[in-house]
Parts: sequence; structure tokens; C-alpha cells
Amino acid sequence: MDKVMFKRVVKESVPALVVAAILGMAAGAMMQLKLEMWASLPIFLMLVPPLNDLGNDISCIVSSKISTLLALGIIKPEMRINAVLKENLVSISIVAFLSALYLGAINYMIAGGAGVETISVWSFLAICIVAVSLLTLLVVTISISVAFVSWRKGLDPDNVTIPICTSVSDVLGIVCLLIAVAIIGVG
Amino acid sequence: MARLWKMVKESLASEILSISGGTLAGLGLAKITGVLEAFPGMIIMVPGFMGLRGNILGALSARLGTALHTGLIDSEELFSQETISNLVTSLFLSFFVNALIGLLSYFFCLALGVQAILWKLVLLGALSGALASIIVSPFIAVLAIVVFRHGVDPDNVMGPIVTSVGDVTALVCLFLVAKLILWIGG
Repeated sequence: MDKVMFKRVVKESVPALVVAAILGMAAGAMMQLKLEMWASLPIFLMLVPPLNDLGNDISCIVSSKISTLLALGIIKPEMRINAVLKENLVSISIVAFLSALYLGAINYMIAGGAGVETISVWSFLAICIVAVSLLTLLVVTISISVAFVSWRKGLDPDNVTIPICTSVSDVLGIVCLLIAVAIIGVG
Repeated sequence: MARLWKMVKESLASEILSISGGTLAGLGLAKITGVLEAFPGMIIMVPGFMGLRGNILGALSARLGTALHTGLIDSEELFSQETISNLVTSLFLSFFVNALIGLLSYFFCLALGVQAILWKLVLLGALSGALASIIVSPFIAVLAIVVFRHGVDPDNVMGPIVTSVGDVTALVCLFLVAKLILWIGG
């Protein structure tokens, strides 16, 4: 047993893990406030893990791409859209929209097959599209901003942006889902 | 335009895999709503608990990948001292941080006016975190070593596997331990 490695990993990991856990519990607190809705329509509860995965993935993709573009000197850390950044944002938007359709379709089919109570297919798809669009907009904005700020402060965005943005996107995923349900309704 | 569609194609493939794995975990969550209602405060733990499995197990997988590349771990030996040290560290972190999640959940419950019981939440976090780690960590270690033996870079393939296997196992462990605590403590 390598005690030096054990102590080093524990010391370096615990602060980030505790911050991530607190942010996760903020998301949990929001779920607790709507416990009746999750229990009466568990199809929305089904959406929580894949929506969080999607938010985390988009955040990882954007953060890694921005870090690479900054390191290569293709973009500067300022809120100005150039051709390369625009191309990346368009590709993320297309991926997010197609992912929202897949998310809605696969969850609806599996919920139906597994006997989970569902709502109208069109309302459900609309909720998925609104939730994913909102989440993508917020996650992309936050990821780019955090990457720019960390770059300006001389930190490697690869090490800073992903842990911050994935934890924040877990909270935002549930917020966006609740907003989408409130906008579209559960008809 | 060709570069844009290449980016869309590559990202979409991993998204579909990721959403499919998340959907399985989501189905598990939808099927345990009865336990979530019977165990006050448990739902507050769910996002933090599921997020941690990625942070702890993902970091384990990344450390093993680096150790394999640098030769610190010999891919011919499945459970070397270095691998065991990594597994023990991951188990300790899962136990400690998830117990802390249980404790913090209790304070969130107090703030929200939910009548929760402290020992039940701490025990749920610690036991389910440790159980999930005992099941998944050795699997991740063996898989990382085996894929490396076959010339595949673990850094490129372990991410979606860790997320999907971790999600489902974490939920099953959380459910089983919650049932046990409800059976013992009512």
C-alpha cells in the first residue's frame, strides 16, 4: 500500500469533491421541493440522469475546444465571435438539438415499455427540446466565460473549467427541466 | 462545412452512448419512487451521489491510465501494489465523501423542513458509496489494464464506460442500502 500516494490523492481530491457534492445537493434540494411531481410522473425523473450527462458532455466538449483554441492562439479570451468559434457553436447547437430529440424518443419508448406513466408524446418531446436548449445556452455561456477567465488568470482551463462546469450543469439540468415543464405543461 | 459535419458526427455518436446509459439509470430512478418517498431526504442525496461516482471513479480510471502509460503499473499484473493502492484510495474517498453527503443532506432537510433522521442519511451515504466502489472499482481497474494490453488507450474508451456502469451500479446500491435501512429502522 503506497501511503504517500494515498495521502496526496485524498488531500488533492477532497476539496473539489466536497464542492461538487454541495452543488449536487443544491440540485437535490430542488428535486425535494418537487417530490410530488417526480413521484406522480416518474417519466420526468427518468430524464434527470441523461439530461445531467448531456449537460456535462456539452460542457466538456466546449471547455476542451475553447482550451485548445486558446492554446493554439486561434481565439483570444474576449467575447467576440470569429469564424472558428462560430463553427464550433453551430456544431454544438446541432448536436444539442439532435440529442434532445434522441433523449425524448428513447425515454418515451422505454418508459412506455417499462410501464412508467407517460404524458402526450408531443408535450414530452417539446419539454425535452426546451430543457436541452436552455441547458445548452447556459452551459456554453458559462463554459466559455470560465475558460476565458481562467486563461486570463494564467490557469490551464483544462484543469479548472471541467470540474466547475460539470458540477454547475448538474444543478442547471434540473432547473431547466423544471422550467420546461412549467412552460409546456404536462398535458 | 465538411469540418462542421465531422464535428457533429463525432460528438453525436458519444452523446447517443451517454444518453442511452443515463436513460437506464433514469429508468432505475423512476422505478424506486416508492423508496424515495418512504425515505425522507434520500432524493436530496441522489444528484450529489451520482455525480461523485463520476468524479471518484473517473479520476481512478484517469490515474490508472497515466500509471499504465508511464510503466508504473505493469499491464501483465492485474492487481499490483500500485493498482491496490489506487483501489483503496477510491474506496476511502467513496466512503468518506458519501458519508459527508449524508450529513450535509440532513442540514438541507432541516432548512427545507423535511423530517429526516441523521444516522439513516449518513449510513445510507457511507454504505451505498462504499458498496458501489467495492463493486465498480476492481471492474474498472481490470478493464483499464485489459484494454491497455490489447493496445487500446484507456483514456479514450474508459470515460463512457465509467459513466454508464457507475450510474447504474450507484443507483442499485443506493436502492438496496435504503431498503435495508428502512427494514432495520422502519
